[in-house]
Amino acid sequence: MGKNWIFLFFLFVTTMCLFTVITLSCPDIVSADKKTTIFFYNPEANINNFVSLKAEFDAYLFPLGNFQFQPVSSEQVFEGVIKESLSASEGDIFILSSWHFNVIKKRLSLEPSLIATIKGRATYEKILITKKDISEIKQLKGAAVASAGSEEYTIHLLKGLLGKGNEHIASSMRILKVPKDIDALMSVGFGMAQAAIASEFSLEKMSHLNSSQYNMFKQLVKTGDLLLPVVVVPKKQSPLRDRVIEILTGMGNADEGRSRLKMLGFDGWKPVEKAERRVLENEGN
Amino acid sequence: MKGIKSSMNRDLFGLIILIVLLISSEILEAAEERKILIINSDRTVTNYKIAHEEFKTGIGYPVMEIDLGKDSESEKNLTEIISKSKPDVIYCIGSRAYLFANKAAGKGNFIFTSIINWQRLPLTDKTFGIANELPPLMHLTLYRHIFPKITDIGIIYSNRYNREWVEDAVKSAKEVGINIIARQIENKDGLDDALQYIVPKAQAIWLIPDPAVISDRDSLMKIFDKSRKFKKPVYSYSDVYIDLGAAISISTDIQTMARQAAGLSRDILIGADIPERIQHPAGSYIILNMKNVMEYGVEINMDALESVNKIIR
Repeated sequence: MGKNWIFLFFLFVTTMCLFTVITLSCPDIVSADKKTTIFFYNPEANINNFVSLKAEFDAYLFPLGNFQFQPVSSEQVFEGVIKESLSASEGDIFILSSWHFNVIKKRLSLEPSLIATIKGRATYEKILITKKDISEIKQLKGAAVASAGSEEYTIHLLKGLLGKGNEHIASSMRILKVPKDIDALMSVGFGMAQAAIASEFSLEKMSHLNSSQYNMFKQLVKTGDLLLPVVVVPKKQSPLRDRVIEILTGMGNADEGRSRLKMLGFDGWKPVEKAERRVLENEGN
Repeated sequence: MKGIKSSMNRDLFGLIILIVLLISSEILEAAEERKILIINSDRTVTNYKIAHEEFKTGIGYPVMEIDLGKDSESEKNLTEIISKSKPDVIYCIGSRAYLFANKAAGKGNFIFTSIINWQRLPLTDKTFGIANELPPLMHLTLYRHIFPKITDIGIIYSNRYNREWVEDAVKSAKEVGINIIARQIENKDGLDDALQYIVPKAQAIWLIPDPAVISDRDSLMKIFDKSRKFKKPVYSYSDVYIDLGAAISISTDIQTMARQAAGLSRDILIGADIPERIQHPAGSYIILNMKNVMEYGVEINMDALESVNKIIR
């Protein structure tokens, strides 16, 4: 009877040890409930419909696996989340603006995997729009400029748009952050701002929607091609990384996914190609 | 001789430094002395709280605060506090705050937001503000953006409250290719006939803030029942109508309004030229009721979804 107890005790201890060894070597088993999160933050657009975004993306992702979507409202929180996820090797995925990727790429070990597209294009232009009575950049000294981007991003754009020698004009301008490009454009039309920064796509929309407002506008200066937001992944491979990339890529191919992507301001994804990678890796260096 | 010259140069240099320091300390002091006072009608009201916080974040100066909903001080004491502190700018959130400020500091620079129908306020030549309502053209441009196929919109209104507004809306609608079918009523007795006329003709009904039309809950329910029967979506100006079945609400974005108020305050402080003392709001907040849109089979522009702040499913 005593020997049986000893045998059972050793069997129990051995089973527990084996279980511990197996679970420690296979983190996927331990974290079976841990969801892979797709974090989103974009300072280029004032997207603040977080509740709807989370609900819509989670509903899309739910049948496809243990994934969730998490929009983030501030740059500081977003960068904190990335650091934490990287240090814990969580295998999360991040969607961010190309400009923001350039800002953080040296600090955080991430690589671009997908780039957003609008009607098949991965680039777009931002335009500084004024009313027609503005003919020279110097007339914008101290003017209010409406923009849907964050203040830091808008200042960065303004400096580039106004060019060398006009930095003092860029810094003298008052930035009025508005919810969307169309609000920025109407702010110029209605006189709440003397200038607006909007994408070429928004300006085109306005030309169809309200030609009388559109005809008031002057396209003072354009940025040239800018890259759309990117999906970045930890450089260290994780088991579900390829699956998430596959799911995201598929979103642009069907109405269900495309309608959700349109809430973020684009309609598809494509793999980052050599030329885009070069821009992403070299810009800001 | 050389020694004397060099000593004089040193003295002159010292004097210049002293003057520069004095001037810059005066400038700094002047900047520090700027006094901004926020008077909130009631900070427990969500929209007032949002405006308060956003203004405080954006102004870039320290602020003094009075919450009329909470402060136990009597109005007399608060008036005394205001007259002693002599604020350069008073930001008033809500009409109670504005009326109080106007009484307590009649000669001050006032900036108001979150006031329905600001035209009824006692204004001074130092009153600035952001209107609470988006102009009709902004509404119509956004409606057209989201529902591109809807071109005939019905409005029931009263001359007493909205004659000029509707005239402006009819004119603005033409700019965006929309036809407004308007019907004027004196009071709720005319509502049934107006609905009978408007609803079958229009593709959507635009509910506007008109006390003669929305005089009670029954009137409101009549509008929603009729539009439901004819499967015509209701456009509204406030999120409170979404639960009743409005397909969309387009209202002012409170945070943007507070940022505009902060910008106006800074302009006043630096003595900048302010061409428009009362500005239109620059930001919109859109709620789309997808349940209703799907039920009525209304076509929406998927490209416009990025402009929507909240989707109800």
